[in-house]
Amino acid sequence: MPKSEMLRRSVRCFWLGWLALVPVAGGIAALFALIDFQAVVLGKGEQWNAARPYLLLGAWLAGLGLLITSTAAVLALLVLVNS
Amino acid sequence: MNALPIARRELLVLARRPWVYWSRLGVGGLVAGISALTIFLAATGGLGNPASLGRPLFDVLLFLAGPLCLCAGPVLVADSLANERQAGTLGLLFLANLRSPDILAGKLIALSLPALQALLAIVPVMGVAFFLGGVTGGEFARTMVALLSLLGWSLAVALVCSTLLREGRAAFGLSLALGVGAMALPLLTRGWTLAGTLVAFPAEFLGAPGTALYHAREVEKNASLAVTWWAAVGWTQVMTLGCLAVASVALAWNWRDERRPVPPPASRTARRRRCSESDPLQWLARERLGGRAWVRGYTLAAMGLMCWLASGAPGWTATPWQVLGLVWLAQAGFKLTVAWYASRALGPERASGSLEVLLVTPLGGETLWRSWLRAMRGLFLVPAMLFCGWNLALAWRLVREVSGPEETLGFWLFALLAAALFLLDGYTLTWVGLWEGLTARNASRACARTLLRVLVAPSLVSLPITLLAVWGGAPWPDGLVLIGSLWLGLGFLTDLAVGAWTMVRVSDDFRAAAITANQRRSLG
Repeated sequence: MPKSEMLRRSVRCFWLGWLALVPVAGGIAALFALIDFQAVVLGKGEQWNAARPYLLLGAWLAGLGLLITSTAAVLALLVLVNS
Repeated sequence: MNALPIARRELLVLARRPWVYWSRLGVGGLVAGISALTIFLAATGGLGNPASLGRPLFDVLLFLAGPLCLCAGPVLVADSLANERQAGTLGLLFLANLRSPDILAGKLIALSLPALQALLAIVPVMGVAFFLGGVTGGEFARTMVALLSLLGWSLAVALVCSTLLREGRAAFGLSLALGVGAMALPLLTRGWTLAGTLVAFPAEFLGAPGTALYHAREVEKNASLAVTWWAAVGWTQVMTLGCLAVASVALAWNWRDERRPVPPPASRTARRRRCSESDPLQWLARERLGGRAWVRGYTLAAMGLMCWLASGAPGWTATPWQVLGLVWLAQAGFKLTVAWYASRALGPERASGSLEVLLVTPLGGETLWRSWLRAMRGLFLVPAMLFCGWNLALAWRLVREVSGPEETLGFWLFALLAAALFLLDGYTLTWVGLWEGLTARNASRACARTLLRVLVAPSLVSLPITLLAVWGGAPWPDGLVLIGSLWLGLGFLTDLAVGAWTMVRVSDDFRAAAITANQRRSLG
């Protein structure tokens, strides 16, 4: 993977991670963030990633966003069943 | 007996290990945190009056102390003799006019110290629980005796496994499996009428450590169980002394690290398969991993057992939630297997120096770890997917026995989320095991650290909180929902945090970690 693409995807992962915190709608952003994370980790080779903190934080935020989205979906289902 | 020089040497080695000091702080901090939480709940009225503090505090601390005593042997002792045998220093000890009981006693005295220190942090607070009320003096004393018996038994079993087996991690695995089996056997046979059958005595003997711990409380309710409790303690001591005796005899015969010669592949097919492999590193990783038959056998056996229990085993009718609990246990066994195999990565190559040679070649570090990951995927992906699919099929079969739309939805949600967490846990364990296998001192430590970070840490946080909340007055069905939700949520967050961090470390710092590990090895 070229270095420019590695840096670009790392920073994109960071911003998508923040978007992932939006319940339900952020689920798609979380998936794209995790795809970017996986691609950078597996494709960067031996080169040093200056945007490593952005990549890591983006992945953590994406995961948190997935958890928020899942919780919101479960609660919505329970409300639907109860009603 | 001339065990003190060995004990002194082992204590000096332990004194240079930072984890010995951190573990004291960690256990003390954990006990203080739990006690503070309990007192806070009592002060805010969640647990009623302070006189009812004693029982929940005692039970939660027992929940910490029991696994600590059980795992002390595998973690501290299991690889001690095996590593010395592989390094060739065991023979030198015999040349120094030491006998096998001296060596064993010295190792036991020194290596049991961290576990005793941890127990010393927990026991006084359990004593405080006795003074608060809800726990009688007899129960407290019986529990202490049972815990110390369990600790001694665990250390002795791990010592004999380390004496008999050549590899430290094999000793670790066997001693851990025996410990878990001894604790699980009384629970599994509860309610079964075994008296008069052939399995009565073996079940009573092998399950004695678990029986002593469980019956420490039940003697209060049923005085006739006192004989059972004393018998269990006695059998535990017999097993402990027996293990030490076997280890003493076996060590004198088994101190050399003799490797059996590997016969060359006889068939042309096997030779062709070796030559036609396109990725030699992946082939190497796959050959080193082995275990294909074991993984497949475990998966099929677990699936068969779950079907048999779900369809109604003789004398035991399982509710759908109980079957889900068994599924969770079978999944836990699979995850342990993944961690076990993943933590074997690169350790022997690093120890033998071949990792340095491979890093010097144009292959690079990335090729190495990617080959290992592909080998792990080839070994575990299909059984994991099969396992997951079978669990969901079982859930679909059992959901018909669940009543009410809300409970049905809860059952399905739990089954689906647990399946997703199972796959995520497996993925995280692979990466974390790879990193720990590269950086830990030995494979046993790598496996223990992998399990601690991925599987044990969420449980350590969620279970005490849930138990205290339930004792604080939450009704049991809500407590079950709380346990399930906390376990799923914390498990997911742990997998994500630890997994992402480890993936970045592996891809960025593989070469530096391998070089550091090699330097540490050459400095001793």
